[in-house]
Amino acid sequence: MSVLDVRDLQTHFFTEAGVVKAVDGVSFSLNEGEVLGLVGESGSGKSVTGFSILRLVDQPGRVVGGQINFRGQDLAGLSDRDMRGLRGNKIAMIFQDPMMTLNPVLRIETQMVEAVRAHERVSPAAARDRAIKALAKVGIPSPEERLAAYPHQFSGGMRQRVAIAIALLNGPDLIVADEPTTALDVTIQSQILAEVQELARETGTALIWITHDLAVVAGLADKISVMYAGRIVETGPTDAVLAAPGHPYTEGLLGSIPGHGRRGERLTQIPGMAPNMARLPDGCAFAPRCTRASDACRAEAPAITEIGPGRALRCVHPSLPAEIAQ
Amino acid sequence: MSVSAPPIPAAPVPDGADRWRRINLVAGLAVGLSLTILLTGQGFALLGARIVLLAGLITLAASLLRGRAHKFFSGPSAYVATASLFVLVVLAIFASEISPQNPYDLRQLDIMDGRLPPGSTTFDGSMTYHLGTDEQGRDILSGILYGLRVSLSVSIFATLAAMAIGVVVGIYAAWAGGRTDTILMRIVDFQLSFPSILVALMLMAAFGRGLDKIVIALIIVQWAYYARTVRGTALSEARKEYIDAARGLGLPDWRIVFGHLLPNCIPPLIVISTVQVANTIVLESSLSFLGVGVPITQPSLGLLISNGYGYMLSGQYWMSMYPGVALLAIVASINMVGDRLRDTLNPRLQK
Repeated sequence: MSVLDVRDLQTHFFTEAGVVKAVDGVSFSLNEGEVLGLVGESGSGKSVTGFSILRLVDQPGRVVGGQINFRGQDLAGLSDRDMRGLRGNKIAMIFQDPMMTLNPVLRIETQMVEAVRAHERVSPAAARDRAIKALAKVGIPSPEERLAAYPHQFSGGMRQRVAIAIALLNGPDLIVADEPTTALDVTIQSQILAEVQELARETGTALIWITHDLAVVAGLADKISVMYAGRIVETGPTDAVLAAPGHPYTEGLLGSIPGHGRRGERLTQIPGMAPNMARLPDGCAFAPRCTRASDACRAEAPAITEIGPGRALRCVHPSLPAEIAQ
Repeated sequence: MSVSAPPIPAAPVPDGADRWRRINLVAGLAVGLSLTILLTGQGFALLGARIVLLAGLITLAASLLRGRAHKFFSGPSAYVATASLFVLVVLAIFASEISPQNPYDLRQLDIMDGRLPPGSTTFDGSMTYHLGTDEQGRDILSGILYGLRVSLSVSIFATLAAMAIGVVVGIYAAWAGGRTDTILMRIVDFQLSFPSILVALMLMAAFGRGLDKIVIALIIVQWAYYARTVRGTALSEARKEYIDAARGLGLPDWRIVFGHLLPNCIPPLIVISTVQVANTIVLESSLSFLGVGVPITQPSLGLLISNGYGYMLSGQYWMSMYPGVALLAIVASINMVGDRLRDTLNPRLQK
């Protein structure tokens, strides 16, 4: 069953420099226990997509179009009060920097008990019990004692575990994770990834994992959506996309990961920089950086086209393996 | 868990923190309760309430410095200032027990003992006026002790109330933003563009004398400082990710503001409030000196200085000078303690 179904989401920022279409017609859907990797460079709109789902976009940004159906309910139509009831309860968010997302002056216990009691009328003792269980679930040893600690007494990895535990507290149906492992060591990162994957499978929680790191997504996500300049340029099952990227941008991203070439071999890079979102070029936004760009690309933005089961592309000159191209 | 948890360095788990929180709560309640008893009615005679007050204050100070004592007492000036502040506060709290005479009990006064120099004795030799007497035969030492009490309680009370108002206004302005923020902060700017002594003088001229009136005037003069400071801190704190995270948890706005934002704005508040208590004492003394402050029946240090001022040129310096020295001592020690507190509690200096 589909937990989340986003249709043609548009989030614009009305700045003095003009309207920035940070998210421009993004669509995807997510089933129970499924993990979606939302990949892209800084400024590609992937975080704003996550914030839009929770309706946490700050001024001057606004969701101007599209539908976000969460279990058949359009989130855009909910009152602030109902939305607050969902946030942290059925839809949880994990933020990027574990050093910053826990309140430095409140003990872990205070923050966790508060998160439980904001959504359910339970006694402080019961909320505490649930907090202990959640901490144990994310692999924090002796959770009873650690509850009394302040955030600064935890290491970065431990703090992110606490943040994940807080997200899990109310048994959410959907977790939006905004680059939660970017600030962590690689070893801690892989531990947390493994744990999150197992938790999602165990509890049937759908997960949107926002990252710029294809390597992270490779081992974690069931499907990938690659974003560029506010749009999804390629989407599909993880293995298929990684094995045979169709969009030149996805290819570029894969090419920039060190390790698969030989020692001493030059890494490929995507030339140029992410475009100014307030003044996007006509036609395909990636065209100025694309090696395969033609006049057709610069004239009109390509539409997203289905090229296989669950796979779609937004490119005029896709590089496709023979069996799909036929 | 499929992945074995890495070994965690044994972080100091504050098992005492819970106890300290409870102690703080009790001490705070005790201080509040005893202050209410003492400030309302004639309760100044209640010895028990005063002992509770002192104990509560010491506990609160101890918990504030818990774990940071070595940092606070980093030089001799910190010891001197803390000791003298402690002595002065004890003197103020127990003024009626310590002072040799109740200067406001007319039966204990003798007009014949007026304007005696320091070290004089009463006619029958039963009592020595160590700091002399004023023109009505009141012992200056006793007057100072009672005046210290008035000065301290007026300014502490005014500071706390002004802080409460300023914090609410400032944090509301920062959170609401936009036009609300602009309007509130322009009011603050307007208020702060006048010298506080001028505003206080005008207010006191309108209100008339009285302890309650000077407290109100001092609150009106001072709230804006707190509002501005808190707004600044709150603005920078509100942009931090933990506020976003709290919103992501679906907490209602008031819980985020008072449960998450406010506690993070406290350290600068503690610092400016200690410095501000000293400023308030000076301001109150100035007003009393100018004759618009406390009533004559409850003189503060400023009024004592003013009383003896007329005799300065005739060489009877003690009536004005000793209250002045007391004022200097209390203001200087509060300022120095506040200074040390700033260095100790400043989160930017914390590592």
